[in-house]
Amino acid sequence: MTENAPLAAWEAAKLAGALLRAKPRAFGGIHIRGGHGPALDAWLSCFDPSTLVIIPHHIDVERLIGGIDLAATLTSGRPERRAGLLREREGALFLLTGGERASIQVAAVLAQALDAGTISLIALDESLDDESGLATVLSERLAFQIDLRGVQLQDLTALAIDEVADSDATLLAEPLLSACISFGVRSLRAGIFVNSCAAMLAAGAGRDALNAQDMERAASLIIAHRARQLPAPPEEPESAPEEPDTRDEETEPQEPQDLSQADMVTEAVRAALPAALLAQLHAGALMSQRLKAGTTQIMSRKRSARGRPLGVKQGDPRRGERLNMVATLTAAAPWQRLRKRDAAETRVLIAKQDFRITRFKPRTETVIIFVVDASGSAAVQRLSEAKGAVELVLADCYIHRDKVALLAFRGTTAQLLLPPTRSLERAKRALSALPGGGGTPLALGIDAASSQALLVQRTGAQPVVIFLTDGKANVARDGTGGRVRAQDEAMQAAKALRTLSLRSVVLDISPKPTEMAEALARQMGATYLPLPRADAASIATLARTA
Amino acid sequence: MARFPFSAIASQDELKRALLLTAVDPLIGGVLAFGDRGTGKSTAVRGLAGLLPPIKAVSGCPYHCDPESPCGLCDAAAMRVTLPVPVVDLPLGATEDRVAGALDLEAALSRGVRRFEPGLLAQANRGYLYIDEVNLLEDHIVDLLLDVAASGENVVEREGLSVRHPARFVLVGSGNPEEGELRPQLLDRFGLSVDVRTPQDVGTWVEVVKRREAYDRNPAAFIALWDTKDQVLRRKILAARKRLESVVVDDVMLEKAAALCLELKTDGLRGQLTLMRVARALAAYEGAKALSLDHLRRMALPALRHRLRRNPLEETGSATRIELAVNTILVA
Repeated sequence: MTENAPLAAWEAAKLAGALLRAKPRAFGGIHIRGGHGPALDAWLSCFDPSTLVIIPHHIDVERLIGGIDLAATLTSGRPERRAGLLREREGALFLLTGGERASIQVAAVLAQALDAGTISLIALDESLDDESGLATVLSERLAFQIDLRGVQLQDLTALAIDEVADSDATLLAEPLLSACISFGVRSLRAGIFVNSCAAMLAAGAGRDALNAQDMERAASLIIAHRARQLPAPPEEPESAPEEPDTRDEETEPQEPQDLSQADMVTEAVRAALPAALLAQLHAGALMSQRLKAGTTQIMSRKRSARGRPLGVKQGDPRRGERLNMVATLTAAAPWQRLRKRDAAETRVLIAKQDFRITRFKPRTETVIIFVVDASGSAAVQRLSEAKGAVELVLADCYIHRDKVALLAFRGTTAQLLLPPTRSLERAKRALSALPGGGGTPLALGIDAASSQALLVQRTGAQPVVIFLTDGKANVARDGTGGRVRAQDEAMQAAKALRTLSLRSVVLDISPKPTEMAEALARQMGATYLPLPRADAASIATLARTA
Repeated sequence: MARFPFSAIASQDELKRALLLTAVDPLIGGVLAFGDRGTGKSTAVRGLAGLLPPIKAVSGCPYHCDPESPCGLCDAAAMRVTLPVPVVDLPLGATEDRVAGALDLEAALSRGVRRFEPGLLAQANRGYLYIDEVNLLEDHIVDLLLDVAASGENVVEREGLSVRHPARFVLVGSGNPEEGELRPQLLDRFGLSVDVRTPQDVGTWVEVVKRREAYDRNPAAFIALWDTKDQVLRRKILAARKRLESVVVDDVMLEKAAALCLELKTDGLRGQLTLMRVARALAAYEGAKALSLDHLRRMALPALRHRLRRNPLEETGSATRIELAVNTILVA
């Protein structure tokens, strides 16, 4: 984007901060991309530190909602409850650090508190672009998203303090609501946020009507990061409002002005779109990849890390196992009368054999990554079979709780067509238009598979990579042609993949199976299967048993 | 706590209708609302609590059981109280202990007594259990809910406890299908399924924002303003409940519904039963004396859309398939 983009981010940050301070319940909070650093420190200094409650992402849910106070319980000999932070610090501004790593349980509890309007929240999110970020249950409830990652030290000069104020006048910015629709915003909350935001900016400037600048600023603060599509080109007239007779008209409709205002708002949103998001929107189908991946990936990570609770057993909590307080006290309860030598003793007497630890059944989720050679003439056929296989695997993955991803390579690029998902619906949408044809950049395809597999491993899941290729490379990593070098690079990439020690399969889909694909499979330690007439059903069966 | 009035919800007519019909006949089963976030799903469920006629219950009963048919776990001779219909929120992170109930620690430690401390399922008895993001719920909690929803009874057998108590509730789940599908076993337990989409016309957005702002500014005044409309709905529900049993259901209608389910190859009998029930509730709600083809036609989609066996390679959506079948079979 433009050179002064970081400055704009800083300005947006200050404005969002001012709005949140003025009306915390109306806006819920702020989602900050970027972590600790001078920019964050400078920005946080505009909040009153005494109202700020810092919570780490690994906070116990119990600490939030309250529960049994272990220390007090053991001293007094009866269960002592402790109020949770949400109750204790009601009305405070919470600061969640490492928000992208917060468990779904923590996110859900905070979301409920936001719904009830008892807290407001600043969530720090240090995820990289290809990782899952803050859980959507939370990010959707926070009005603003601010990116502090590009802010430089010299940007942190004090800008004029933005004036915002609450007003009693009901201002309605219809162009802003139209923009929500045309940019594909999926939540009515955004409409409520953007309208309050514009009204407060106007009131802050002492005006009782919205002007162009209020709307522009509100649109770039609220709508831009929620965009899921680009508006249709302006040839067709913007949805002419035809329903005014059904609702009471407070303002005279001013058609021409409204139209130009709508255009202006559209432009403002467009200009404020984060670069990465804009690229995705242009690319089309994958627009929701980062936005939506949040919750599910966090879910799966937590799940596999912890597994399903299997109940409790006797054990020693000092070996890093998790003490189950309740079960321990329960185990100790019947012995109390016997253990108490002195009737005046009020403490609960806990012996070593009372300790109970929670057992978890470790369960690793599998992510099947299909890597499809989309080059040459057979591409279309191959891709549609791969797509069919993806959908068939997904159709019963609720049994296995697996996920599926799809990568394709052709010409000079490798592309992630479907990020790991369990959703059939999403897969259908992402796979509806698949490109095909061009050269075979096999090395790029294998590289992409490796990095995707690595991401999967990082979430704690087990990747399985399935290649559909004839193993004949003719495009090198740098995009130049030449069989020999392309083949060399492919073999190197295969070797690198092998070091990840994961399960992989090479399906040789050429009409006459050759040694190329077999050599490739050997190199990456994969199972080799010649399958000249690979069809969706057989690939799916194979993927399930791989 | 102040609640946004049910009748002031500006969009989601299909969801509101589905919820109202479960209030007329709770045996319809639950409602599954799948679709976009922030579209007023939870507001609708919570608004329903304020709308429904209060229930009579045995005073002090943790399951607020009906004095006419006591649960047997409480003192049925106790006083009777009038309570609002319970709407219980099941948070995603809820533990099994909290959902099903667990040993009462206080009693165990201080008096050495094993006593049961009822959980959320007890609270939800005779009311609504609302699960936001039902598709993200931990597997073992889903399994637990399935069992209870099917039997209407919560059985706890652990920590030396042996308790069974009534837990009849209307399950309302919401979720976003892009984040994961729901297992078919759980899908089938929901009586109705509605698609919740973000409205695409400015008029609705304007109305939503206006009403929300008015509510935030002065909740009490806003609730008072909409109270008459809520009262009208409440009276309609009560009248429909009275009429429900007397709605005439012709054998021809039964045959038509069966033919529709056969054509659509829905699994099991539950689809057909639900379709008949919900169509009858609709007839009662609209004051009709008999169940008509029109009632069946209008309820076929919410009653059946989540029960079609999915062929992933089939491009036609469930809605289109149902519409086609309705147009060929549910005709005079």
